[in-house]
Amino acid sequence: MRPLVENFPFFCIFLAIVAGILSATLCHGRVAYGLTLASNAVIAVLSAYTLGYVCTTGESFVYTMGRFTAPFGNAIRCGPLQAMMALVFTLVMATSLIGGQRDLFHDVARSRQPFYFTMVDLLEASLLALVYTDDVFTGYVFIEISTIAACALVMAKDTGPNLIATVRYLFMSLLGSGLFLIGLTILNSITGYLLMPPLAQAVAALWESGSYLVPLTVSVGLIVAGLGIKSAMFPFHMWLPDAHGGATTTSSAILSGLVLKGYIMLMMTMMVRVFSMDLMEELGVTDVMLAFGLLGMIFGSLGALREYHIKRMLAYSSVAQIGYIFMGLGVGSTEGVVASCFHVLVHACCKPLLFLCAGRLSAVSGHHRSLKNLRGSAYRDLVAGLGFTVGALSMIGIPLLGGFVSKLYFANASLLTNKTAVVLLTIALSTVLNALYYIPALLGIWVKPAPEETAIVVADATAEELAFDRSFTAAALVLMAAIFVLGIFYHPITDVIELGVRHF
Amino acid sequence: MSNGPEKQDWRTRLVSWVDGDREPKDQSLFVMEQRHRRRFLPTEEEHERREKTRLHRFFNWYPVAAVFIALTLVTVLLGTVLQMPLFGQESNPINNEVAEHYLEHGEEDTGSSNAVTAMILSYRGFDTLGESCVLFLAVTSVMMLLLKDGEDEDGKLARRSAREADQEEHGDIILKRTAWVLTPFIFLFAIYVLLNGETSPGGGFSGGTILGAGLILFSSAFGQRNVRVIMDRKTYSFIRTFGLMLYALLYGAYIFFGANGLPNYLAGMALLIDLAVGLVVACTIYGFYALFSTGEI
Repeated sequence: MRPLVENFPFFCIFLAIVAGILSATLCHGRVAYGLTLASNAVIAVLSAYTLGYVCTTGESFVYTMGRFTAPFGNAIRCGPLQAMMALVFTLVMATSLIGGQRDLFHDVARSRQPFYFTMVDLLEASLLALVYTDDVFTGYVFIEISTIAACALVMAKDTGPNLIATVRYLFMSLLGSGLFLIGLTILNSITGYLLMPPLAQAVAALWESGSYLVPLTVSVGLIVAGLGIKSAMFPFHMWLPDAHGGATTTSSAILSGLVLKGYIMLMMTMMVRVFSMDLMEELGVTDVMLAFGLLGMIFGSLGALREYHIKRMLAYSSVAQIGYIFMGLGVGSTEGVVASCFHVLVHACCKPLLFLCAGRLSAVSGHHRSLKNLRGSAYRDLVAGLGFTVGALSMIGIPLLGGFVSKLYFANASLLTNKTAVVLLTIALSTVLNALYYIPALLGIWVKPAPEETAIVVADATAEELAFDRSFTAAALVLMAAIFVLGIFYHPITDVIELGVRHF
Repeated sequence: MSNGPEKQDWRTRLVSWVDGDREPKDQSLFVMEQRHRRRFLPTEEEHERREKTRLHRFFNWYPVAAVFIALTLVTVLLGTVLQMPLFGQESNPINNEVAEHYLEHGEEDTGSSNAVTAMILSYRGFDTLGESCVLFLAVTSVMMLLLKDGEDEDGKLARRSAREADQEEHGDIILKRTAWVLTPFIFLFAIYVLLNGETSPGGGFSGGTILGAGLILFSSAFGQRNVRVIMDRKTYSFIRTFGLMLYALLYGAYIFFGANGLPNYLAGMALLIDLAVGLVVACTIYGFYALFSTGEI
């Protein structure tokens, strides 16, 4: 009999699935919303407990899903990194739901609201499974779940452009899943395993003996490309701005902040646990990732510079931030992976905050989205303005905020390699570009326009929308606090990440 | 305040800079001076024209790029296949202890003599639970997209139901008679396949597909109204969620017992799980048919 706490990761996944099924039977969106929040709260508590347990033992544990041990049956593996990601993802998911509540019930048709929460619950289950999985095929199955659920989240607000964006998103996602699956079948046919520990041994043996070199290379390439497409790695990011920019606030926050990160976590697991960083470096995959990451940082920001639609601007900024994460992986050292993990956390808190605040700012401006019409909107909801400011400054990388620390870690990670110059210069350039589009946006929302212009914009907003939004305020304050914590008290967090990467 | 108007002026200048409007004259550099005012709202025709040129340009390069990418991928994958282990050789890496264990000890481990059932329901059951969730989600998202929600948008619904009345019952007598004779046997066969998954080829997925196909045949011959007599929307939702819920709960208990080394209390659960999977699959298949043809269940 194992300690009860080792069951918690499985309980979390299972609870999310059950909550999703239950939500589909409910008639009222509000009830499903309550159920989803309750299940998220329980999952958060269980994950926090698991995190405490793995940090005290300092090791990861494998939990067999059934009676059969590896290599015969499914298994999940939980270490400090996995537990922390699960905790943060769950909390951010709940906060996004709370913060975007008003928009959510306004944008999604009444009869569809329970289904929306089914999607959210199963998305939560798939995120947890992608983080915890120790079996490559389980990874694929839960990629499918998150693909469908994510597309449904975009589709929930059924305007014409949104449906087109969903179709595009679906096509690109399916292409990504398809490439990943082909990669897996090739890998399975040359190794004969699906569970990660024996798979890693078999891959190492193949690499040493030099047999099946071409299939191994191709399968690594396909897996990385498949997951890269799904997580909007630079040249494959064209679907992202439409899908994330048009969806309802909560969907945008969840998609940008969490869904992309689930795929990235699976990619990290594959790279570190299955293929090992040395192999990735010798195959040249890390160099390609570094190049795509650096290009993504620049071109994502350039794309954002051209936008005047606030949510599309934020979506392009996600492309740049994903570029940072791939740059960290591309550096090819443990420090790089730690920096990437920290940036996953920072972006998972920052981007939902920005999307929630942008949604609120446009709600108090009669649902106008262009920066021109948002002028002075910060004065109509101070917390939204403050939240947007904190998020934007963190994205630029101002000290005391999370973004600064992750940039510091990226720069540190690059010092030990021979790619220091290009990484540091690109970080500097990307910081300038970030400032170039975030600062005008900040000035825009904080500078008061002429009263008659304000009157025109506010005339489109109903009194209900202008009223104080308690749930939004609470969510924004929580996320702002999280960004300050990540920026000031980051040492315990990076210690946990370092411990987690050592026991990946 | 003496600096009031001056301050106002400073503000307007800043605001116009933020908006990307033309730079105020006294500060402007020579380049900024020539810049056109950024247009926030192009007229509708202008917008349409721009979209058209964009689409035109897109279709110019799209076929070239698509062919190029497809050819590259085909070459790479074919090259890989040439290097992969030959099909059916004994020395292939996939013929390792895992496959051997599944075939040799499958029956004593799981109690089902069908190795495929042993694999999908016991050894790798968590993946199967995930796949069932995929099916469930697929129908749910189609319901989200297509289900009529009672709000009649400009008489669309009325026109649609008028059209449906024409299609409701198929006029073809051959189809009707054949369906009348075949449907009971299809259902019987489906139940047989469902319940014998442990010992013979079949199980939840194949049985559920046959059940769903039988429902589709019945509803295409006699109209959905007649299916609704036995299964209306509420019953449908109930069966769908009940199937997956039963599966999830049983399998959750199974994982919990198995992982904690408790005795296996659920030795005979394969039958129930097969039944649950069958319900989910049948509902998925029929749901797709009904939703895509009429938008109702």
